[in-house]
Amino acid sequence: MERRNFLKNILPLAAIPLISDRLFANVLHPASLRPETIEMLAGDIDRVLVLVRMDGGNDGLNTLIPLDQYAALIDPKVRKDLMSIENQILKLKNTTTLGMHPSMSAMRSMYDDDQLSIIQGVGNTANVFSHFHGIDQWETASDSTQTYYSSWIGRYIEKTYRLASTHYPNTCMPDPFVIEVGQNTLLGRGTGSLYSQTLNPEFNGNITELLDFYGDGDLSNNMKEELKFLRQQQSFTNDYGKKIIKAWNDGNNSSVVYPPSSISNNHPNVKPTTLAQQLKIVARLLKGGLKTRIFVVSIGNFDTHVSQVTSNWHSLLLKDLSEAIGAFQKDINQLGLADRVLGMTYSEFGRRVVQNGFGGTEHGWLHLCLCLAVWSKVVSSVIISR
Amino acid sequence: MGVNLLKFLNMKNVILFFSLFFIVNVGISQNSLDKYNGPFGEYQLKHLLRRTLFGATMDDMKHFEGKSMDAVVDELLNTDPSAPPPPWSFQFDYGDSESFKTGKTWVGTKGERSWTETIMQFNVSYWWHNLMMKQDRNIREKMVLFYENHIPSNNGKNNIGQGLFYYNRIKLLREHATGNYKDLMKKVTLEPSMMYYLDMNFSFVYKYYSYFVPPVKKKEPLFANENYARELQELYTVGKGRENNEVLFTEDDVKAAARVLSGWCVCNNNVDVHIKKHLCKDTVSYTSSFTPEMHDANDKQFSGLYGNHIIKAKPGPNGGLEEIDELFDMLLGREESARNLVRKLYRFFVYAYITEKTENEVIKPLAILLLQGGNGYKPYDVKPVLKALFTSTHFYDTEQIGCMIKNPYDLILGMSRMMGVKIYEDTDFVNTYNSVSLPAMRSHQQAQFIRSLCFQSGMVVSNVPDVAGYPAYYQGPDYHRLWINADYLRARKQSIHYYSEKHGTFIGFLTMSEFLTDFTINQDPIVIKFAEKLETPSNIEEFIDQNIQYFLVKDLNQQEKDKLSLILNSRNEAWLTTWNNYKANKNNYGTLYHKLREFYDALFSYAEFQLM
Repeated sequence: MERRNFLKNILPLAAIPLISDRLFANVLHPASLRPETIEMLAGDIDRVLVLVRMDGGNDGLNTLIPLDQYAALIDPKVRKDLMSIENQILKLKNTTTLGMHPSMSAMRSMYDDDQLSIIQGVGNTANVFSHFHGIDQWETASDSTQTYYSSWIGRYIEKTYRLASTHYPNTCMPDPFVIEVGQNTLLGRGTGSLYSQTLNPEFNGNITELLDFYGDGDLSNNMKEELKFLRQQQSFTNDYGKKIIKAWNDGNNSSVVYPPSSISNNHPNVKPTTLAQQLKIVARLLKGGLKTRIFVVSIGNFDTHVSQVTSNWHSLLLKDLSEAIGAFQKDINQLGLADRVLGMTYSEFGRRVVQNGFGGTEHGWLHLCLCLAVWSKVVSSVIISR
Repeated sequence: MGVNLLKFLNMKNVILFFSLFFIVNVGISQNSLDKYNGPFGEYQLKHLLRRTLFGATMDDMKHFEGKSMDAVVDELLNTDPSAPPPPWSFQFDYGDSESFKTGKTWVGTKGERSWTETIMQFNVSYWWHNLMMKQDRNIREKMVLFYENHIPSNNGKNNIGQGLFYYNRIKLLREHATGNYKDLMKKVTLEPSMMYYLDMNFSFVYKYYSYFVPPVKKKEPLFANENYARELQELYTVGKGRENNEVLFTEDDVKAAARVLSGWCVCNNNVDVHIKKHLCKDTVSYTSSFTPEMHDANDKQFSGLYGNHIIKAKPGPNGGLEEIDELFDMLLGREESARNLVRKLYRFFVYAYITEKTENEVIKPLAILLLQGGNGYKPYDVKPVLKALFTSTHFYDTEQIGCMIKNPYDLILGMSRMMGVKIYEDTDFVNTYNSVSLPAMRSHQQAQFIRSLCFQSGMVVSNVPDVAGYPAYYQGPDYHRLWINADYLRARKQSIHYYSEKHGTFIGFLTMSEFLTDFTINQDPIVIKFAEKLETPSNIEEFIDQNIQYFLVKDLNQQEKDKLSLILNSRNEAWLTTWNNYKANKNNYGTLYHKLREFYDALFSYAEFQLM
């Protein structure tokens, strides 16, 4: 089977667990991770997943806009203040009922070029719209009845690499299992170990080496556990650091320009969005031959209780998101990496349909508001709705 | 010159101590919260100080030496609530010249309300770092840091008066450092910095102009903003249970609390004319103001989780405050709230992981103590809880000693205090030429340096990354281990000592003078000044032992000590020779300076240094 066909076949399958609450929990459940799923995911060892975490809870209804319900949404009692002007909403091919937020032209182009799919109405049912419950559920694949403390990625690593995941780095997996740029998420966590290496968004190829002083012994059980962890981290940091530097030096980005953050230009007090920078690092490391298969990047400030529109806030965030992903996709296309890479965005929850009167929105149902963007060179431009 | 204290720390005493400790521990079976009645010596004192101060310095140890556990704990918990001297302008030519006189404070001037630039945040931040660097010998600075993490507010979100609001917030946290949590929470709720941060500001139930500004046609209703109402329950009161997975309030409770908290705004002189006229009688003091018409006038029904409590609508100008009082009685009346706070305290002061046993034997009884008060203490007085914790058998159990990963402030401030950084006094502001005096300027530079080191390692005050605080204190299952990812580990190393390609030289804490300014020939390197304070620096074995005892949570084996000796004997010169050369002529500091930097770089690389 050609890789292109293979990926085309796998994508709808991979999407199934994300669409259904029950399957989501069952398939990625540590006890019942099905052998065929593992085989499927592990089949092609050079494939890469890039996860984009949108912190704060994205207003999905303002991201992928239901044009057929525009008249109802523009009602002052609903979300008049938040709605984009109708004729500015970006049209999408193959659908007349959905359009994209006006600032997302880069992602619209990807959609037009068959490089972006959207899955609407994804999520777990929640009793409370807590940021922390929400993000933990996404990253651990816990459902509302059971809590896991390991991430679905971590469990996947443990199932897939078995021995490798207890004695690493090794020849089977010489590079970090997971690289997180900018933010520590739960995604690097397995049932017993941490599998991720973090990188600063400012990373520019300089890595300070830690000295080789580890020590041994301990005075209590607690101390023993902490020292073991610290010494291990110290040694991973150095071992993996060398791999990362090598990939950085061997790799490069194409001539594609990664855009500066729009949000920091307009709101100087806000910590700038570094998503583009983070993705640029990912592309270069991949080009440099790093065998890491899971990269996690993030973009914050989606918790728009106030000033979602008045300060252009949400629009600028979506612009940053869309342009960063667009640039990354162009870059990896030019670098010849694109058919290995699949990307996906996620956010802890959506926001309520009805605006709150402060130019913003309160926390709301996932399946009402959130949409996932899944992008790759080889996806079809489909919108899967629930 | 030497301080005699380290004599007590020589290895034989310590080993004797450990063995005594184990014998005592094995012999007596006690409940976790029973008062600890074993020996209270160096080992226990040091543990207590490391957890309640930033590092345990020689002077601290000497100060408390020989005092009983009760006396030491009482002294540590006795914090001064009075306000420290306010921050002062260090920037020339800024703002209106009346308010921003170089070396004078801007607090209390007209300008405190107009100065809005980021520079003001830094001004307050440096002031705060100075307060931590020269902390008194009590728990205040740690408690302020605890609250900064527990009830955070990020001053990046305030565009108006951000320096002033943050200054007021810190003053409030200091005042209530070991005081009453309920009082503190009520004040924090209406403190402008929090009102901006979690959007309680202008959380009204009508659009104010549709209500006040003529011609009034139709009052347009609004939903109260739920941001603060939610986090208040999820994070600051009832919480999420020990495993972070319990649902202890409902979405309707969030809405009800939001309605209780409606009707408030922060008044400042930037607001429009209608707001000034109808909502803010006082636009001078920059405090929160309540407008009854903008408050939800209905009863607020809470769920069965709160015993179906109804907060009755309370009309009138005091209704808002009265309802908030009742809200806090209801929220904090639940045992879950007390447990939530006790768990936060435990994770900050004792250990990150709360076992079933710890939950039952430490958390639950302390929560009852917090909830009930007694012995002259009110419900939610924090002091008796801290006292019980710091004098408990559990706290002095070997399992709890030296097992906590230092946060960046423990690491950097601890290192700086323990090595004896000299602090410039910032009270002497202005010299005769009416510019900022050198010491005052330097005190800011010191704070700036410390701040930058902590910032790199992932923690800086007044810039908390999340409403829940720093992930290391809320994100299970790893908690404090989140301080140690690859990026932060490298940052920790860089803070201490590293070769910078950019500068073409070594930089970091160990390269600095004892004033933390750049090292120059007429200033003393901190590593040398510190080595001189040790009892017998010329004896290589004793020198190594004394340093290990002072800086690490446990001893190192002989193999590791040999590695450290190699460094001190490097450069083809025996340690004794290097030391004597320096003692004979202080201008011969070069070799000593290099050896000591390498020595401390190695010592601080051990995992044992990351623990406390």
